[in-house]
Amino acid sequence: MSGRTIRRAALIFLPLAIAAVVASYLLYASQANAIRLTAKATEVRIADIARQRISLTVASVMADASYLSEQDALQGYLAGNGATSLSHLQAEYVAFARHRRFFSQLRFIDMNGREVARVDREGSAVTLAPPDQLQDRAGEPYTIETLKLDRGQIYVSHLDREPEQGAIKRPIGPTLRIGAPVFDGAGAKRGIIVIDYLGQRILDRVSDLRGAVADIWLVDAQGTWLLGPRDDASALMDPERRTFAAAYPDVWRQMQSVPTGTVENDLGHFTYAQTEVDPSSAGTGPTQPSWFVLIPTPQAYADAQTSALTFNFAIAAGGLLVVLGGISFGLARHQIHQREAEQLVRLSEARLRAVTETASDAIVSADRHGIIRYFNPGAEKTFGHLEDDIVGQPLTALMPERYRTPHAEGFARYLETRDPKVVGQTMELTGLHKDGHEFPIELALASSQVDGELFFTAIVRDITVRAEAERKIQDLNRRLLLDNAELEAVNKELEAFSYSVSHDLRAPLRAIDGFSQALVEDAGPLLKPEHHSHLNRVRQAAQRMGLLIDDLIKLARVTRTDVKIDDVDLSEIARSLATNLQDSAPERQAEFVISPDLQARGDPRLIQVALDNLLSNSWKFTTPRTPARIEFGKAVANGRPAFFVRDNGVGFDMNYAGKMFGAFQRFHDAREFSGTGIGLATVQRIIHKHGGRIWAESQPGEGATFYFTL
Amino acid sequence: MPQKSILLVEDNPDDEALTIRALSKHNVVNGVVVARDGVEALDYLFATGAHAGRDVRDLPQIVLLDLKLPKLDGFAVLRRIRADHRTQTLPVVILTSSKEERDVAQGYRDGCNSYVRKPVNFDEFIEAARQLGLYWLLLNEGPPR
Repeated sequence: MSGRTIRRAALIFLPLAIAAVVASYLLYASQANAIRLTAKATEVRIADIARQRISLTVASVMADASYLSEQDALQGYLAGNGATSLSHLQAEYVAFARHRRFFSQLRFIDMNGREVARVDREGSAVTLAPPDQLQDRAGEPYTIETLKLDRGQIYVSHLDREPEQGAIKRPIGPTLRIGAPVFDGAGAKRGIIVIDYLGQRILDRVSDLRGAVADIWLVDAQGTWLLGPRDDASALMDPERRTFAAAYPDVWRQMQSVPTGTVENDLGHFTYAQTEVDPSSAGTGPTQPSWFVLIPTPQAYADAQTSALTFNFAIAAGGLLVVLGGISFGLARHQIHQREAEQLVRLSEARLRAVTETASDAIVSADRHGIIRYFNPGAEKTFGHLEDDIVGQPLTALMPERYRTPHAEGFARYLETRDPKVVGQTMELTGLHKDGHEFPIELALASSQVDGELFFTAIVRDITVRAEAERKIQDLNRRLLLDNAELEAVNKELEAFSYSVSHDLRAPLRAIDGFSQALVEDAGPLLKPEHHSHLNRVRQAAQRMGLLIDDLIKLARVTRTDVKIDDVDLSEIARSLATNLQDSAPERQAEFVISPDLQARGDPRLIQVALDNLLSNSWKFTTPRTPARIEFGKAVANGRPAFFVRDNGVGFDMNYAGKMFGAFQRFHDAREFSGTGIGLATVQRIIHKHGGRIWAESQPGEGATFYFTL
Repeated sequence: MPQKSILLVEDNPDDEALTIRALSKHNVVNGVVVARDGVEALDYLFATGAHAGRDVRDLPQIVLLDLKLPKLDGFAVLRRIRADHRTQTLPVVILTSSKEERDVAQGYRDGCNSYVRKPVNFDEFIEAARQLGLYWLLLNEGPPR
């Protein structure tokens, strides 16, 4: 995992992550808002339900009071006609109270505030108060207030502690008192009906709803707790307890101006609803009761409602980020791989382009339809077409008319059979230049498959120059062969010639010489001296010609003999030749000075012939000298070591030195020195055959020196 | 006792005359038989053709054989002489104009006893003939018959 991959992954990941987080947050916010709205709606609804429960409960008790004020038994008792006795009324009240579980008392009080009949309820036991326990209630606020009412009006007390006079008879509990004035048949006010309702029942009915919200409180019009914070039952009963109005003055102020709504403050928000007694039956005056149902929602509670959502969204967002991270990393790797691969492709493309653009050979690509798709600069030069003009043209544009049909057939056959008859081969063909001239080409053809597309690429070389050179070489070879054969024939002819010369030319000479001598012998006495002289000349001429023939044959033999290289002891050869020369003319005084141990590499027989000629020449041209001196040795001449043959003979004029190695060149009168003029030519031929050189230095009359190298 | 004789195989009449003249100078002319081509030479030696009926055992003491001959050249004659047991040991001297190396080599390969070139100079020729007669007819001990 490279740093590059991580950086690239980060680049991909960051915007994705931000978008994901923002989207998640927006979704979360809208969800949370919906939850909050639902919660608030629930609170409003619960508050309303609580308010209705209170109203309905109060209304039902008010309806009971109204009914009891107009009850027949009461009216009969008030009429006093004996139709209904007090006991009858008492029995009615007991029966009624038995059906009202939450009535703690039911009373009829006369205009003086004295209880006439009273039923008490203690748990499930309903008892009629005996006459001695009937009390005077003239000072009670509910008595005073209810006696003031007109027909149809109902008194409803505050829900409050029992401010009973005297001893407390029952467990302390909130009580709601409902009173209704009683009028007799004549329309005169005769007393009041008062119902004590267990306030706890109302509180219970409200607190039943607590499960759906954070809490439900009940506060009366004075801001006093009726139902306080949960688990704080003492709140209502604790006189020292601060009132709601004191605890939450800002909320309370708001509640005074709007009967139903929501108030926010630092702690959270409060949803409230004011409940009132049915106005149609409600009594008048400052005692008219009203309560506030309050649903307090602390911020922590509200937050708790969305906390699960927050958690879920956090988990989901976290998971999403992990997934995005993985995706980013994968993408980054893929992108980097792709970029690297693309870079490689670009690099290899650039390399390939450099090769094809600079190649002097023509490179031509064609598709499976034989349409040219690529034409490199080399091809432009070779064929004369410009790439822009030729691309899109068929390959056949590059070949002479007569090859187009065979080409098309071969092409079709390859596509059909994929038989690589020519693909992968190098062929010599004929190309067609734009200017119409044809030229020999060498073509290597390859096919390749790229993305399922078949391509052909040909590398073409103009081999005009090469073909021309090859043709020339062939011509030269042919000529050389002819020349060789001719030379061989000439050589054979020469050989046959010299053979027949050596055989047949000598026979007539022998006859001329022999019969001249025979004539001298047989007819000697008859001939005059000049006849002898003539015959002598005939014989000498014949003999001279015999020598000439011999020398010519020698020269010819040297010419056609192959050189066979071996170690040669020149000193030894020279000594032996000198001995022969001296033996041939024992009367001559001659001194041979031969350096010892002169060795060389060469053909012993040919070198012997050469030395023989040189020493014989010296021997011949020193004839007039007494004593003759002939030297053979080695010295530095013309800057290099060379063998030499030196004599003190007659010498020669250096002006003719250049001609002396030609055949039949003679420098001396034949009468003075015999010779054919072939000897030095033979020597030079032998030296040249050894790769050596021969030259001479002389002054007329001063002797001569012949140098040679091998 | 067979006569000491020479078989001269020579087609050139000049050479024949000169050779006989040279030999006669040294009294070896007796018994020189001349054959003018290779076939005649063989006929003489094996008593065939024109020489049928001749005593085959009567062989010359020496054959002087030229190389350039009509019909059958000297080498072929020499090979035939050496191939036949009767003439296998007969001394043969090649007497010819050339001393071409290959001819000399060929002659010895085919079994000649000597190779002599006819000099142009007649004086030298006479000297050669003298030495030949002296050597082959007098000095040399021929093969046993």
